Amino acid sequence: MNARFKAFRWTIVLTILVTLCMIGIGLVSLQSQLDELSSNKRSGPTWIANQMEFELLRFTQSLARFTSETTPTTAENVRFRFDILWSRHAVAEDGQAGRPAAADSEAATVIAALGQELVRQEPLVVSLRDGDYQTAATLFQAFAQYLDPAHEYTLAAKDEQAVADLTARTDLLFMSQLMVYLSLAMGVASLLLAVLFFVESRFHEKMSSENADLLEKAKIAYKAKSQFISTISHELRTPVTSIKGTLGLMRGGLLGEMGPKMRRMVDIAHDNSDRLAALINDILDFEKSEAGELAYTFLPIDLADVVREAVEANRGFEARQGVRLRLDASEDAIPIKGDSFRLVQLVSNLLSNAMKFSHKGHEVFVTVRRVGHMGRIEVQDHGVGIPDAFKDAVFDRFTQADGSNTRKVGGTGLGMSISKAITERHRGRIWFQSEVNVGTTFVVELPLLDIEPPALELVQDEPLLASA
Amino acid sequence: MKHFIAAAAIGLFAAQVASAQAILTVVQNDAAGNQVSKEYTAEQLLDMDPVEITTMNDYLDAPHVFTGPLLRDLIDTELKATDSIEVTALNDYKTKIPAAEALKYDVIVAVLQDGERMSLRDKGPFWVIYPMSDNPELQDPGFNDRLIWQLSGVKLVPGE
Repeated sequence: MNARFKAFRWTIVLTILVTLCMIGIGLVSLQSQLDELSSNKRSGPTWIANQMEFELLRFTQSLARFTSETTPTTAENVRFRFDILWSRHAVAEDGQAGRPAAADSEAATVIAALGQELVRQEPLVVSLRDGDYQTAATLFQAFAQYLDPAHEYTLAAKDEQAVADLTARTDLLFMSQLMVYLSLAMGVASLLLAVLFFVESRFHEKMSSENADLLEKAKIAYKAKSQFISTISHELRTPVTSIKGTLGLMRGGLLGEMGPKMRRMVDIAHDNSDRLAALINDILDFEKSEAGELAYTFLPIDLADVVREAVEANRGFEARQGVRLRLDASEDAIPIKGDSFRLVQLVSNLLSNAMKFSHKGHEVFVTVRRVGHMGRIEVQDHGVGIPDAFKDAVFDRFTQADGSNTRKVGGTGLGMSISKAITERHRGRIWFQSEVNVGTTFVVELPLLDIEPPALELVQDEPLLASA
Repeated sequence: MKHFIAAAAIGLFAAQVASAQAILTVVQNDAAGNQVSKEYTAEQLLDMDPVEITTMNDYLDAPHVFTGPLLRDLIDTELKATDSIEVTALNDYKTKIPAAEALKYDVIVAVLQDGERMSLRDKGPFWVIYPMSDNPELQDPGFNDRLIWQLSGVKLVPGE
């Protein structure tokens, strides 16, 4: 529907544009036609023919007056009228663009005839003397016979002009009607376009409000789910702690001696209750950090101490995993401002991951030192590595490279996402380098305490630090 | 021979007729506001600092050289752009020329065409000429109406 809608809209826009162009062209040609009509008036065929007839009339009139006794005139005046008639005849002969008006009509023969008469009678006119009534009468007779044909010719020219005008007016009428229809069409198209835009905007409004509703619902659902998980985990923690405690007591022999078989079973149960408790803690931590409820207590601490503590806490797993931890910690203190509990959690996460994914018999190499304005922790393993396809998802929650790995090596898949959250709360950044079957190195960089105020500026300036 | 004499006679008389009628009447108000009328012969007009213009127009087949005084020089008082000049032809045809055009362009009252007097039988004795060839904007057909031939009178019509 949308594509067809769009095409329709563009068609209308195009129609409006084309119509506008046509109206523009139409108006220009209308104007030129109007100009032509008005310019016809002075130099047009009617005007030319009329002038010739008029001057013929004045000439013959001057001849008549020459012979009359009431209002006599001079021979010079007769010659003057003759000259003017001569000039008007020449104009009529030239006509427009070399063609006399109504040249094809029978009446047009008067031009040639009058021309011949002018030439024929010229000597008489030139030699006319005052009082020579006889010659004047001859001249009058010679020219009076052209009065009617000249009038006929004027009428013929008028007819021709009328036909031309009619054509022009018909064209004009057609053009103006076309203009009206085009304008109407444009009006309708514009209206249609306005309606289309209105409908479309209403449609988009509805869509976006529906989308907003959906988003709101999704958010509510997600929050409800989070709360549910949080509540369940919390409820699970108490019985798990109780089970773990009981199993601990049994294993410690405080509840009486056990046979070797039973002891092995209790060990297994105790280990698994440990894992269960850790899992529940992870889930709770994660939900808290998602909700921004994870509590942090920032204090000046030594990052090297933090790493040492985390390494010591994980020594217990060395034997079980068959992997050794080797620490190379800076002798000098690496002062930072941070929450040592969360930072130990972060380093422990990295260590347990490194040990889990290491090949047996290899060691995990941990360093902590100053690098520029940062304290840097590196955890390097010689293990399975992270496949390229999975690299982008390392810090996403609930993910491990291989679904089956989850079973084999344990863990919730929340560890890395919690680690990232903790690093970012400390204005630090975390990244890794990895090669499949060679190993992985995770790096955490945290800003040093003594240069924190300027470093704060740097943090804001360098997107790497802010977005890592 | 007979023809030759006749032709010579015609030429002689024609020239006489032309010179007899070749008078331009200029009507305008003097400083006191009274209407004054002056008559100029072709010779007098040619004495008035004539200008030469070579131009073409719709009534000519090829460019010609026209000589005559500037139309604006015929008016003694200072010509204003809002004034107009009423021009009259021998056949009593009248039209108005906006003074602004006479001020902006070298509009002349041509007395000579290619150094010769113009005959009454062809656009003479005087013809209003616009410098159309030098000013393409004047080549609009609307300006043809201003090219009054057989000019006999010029009258200043003061503007508002």
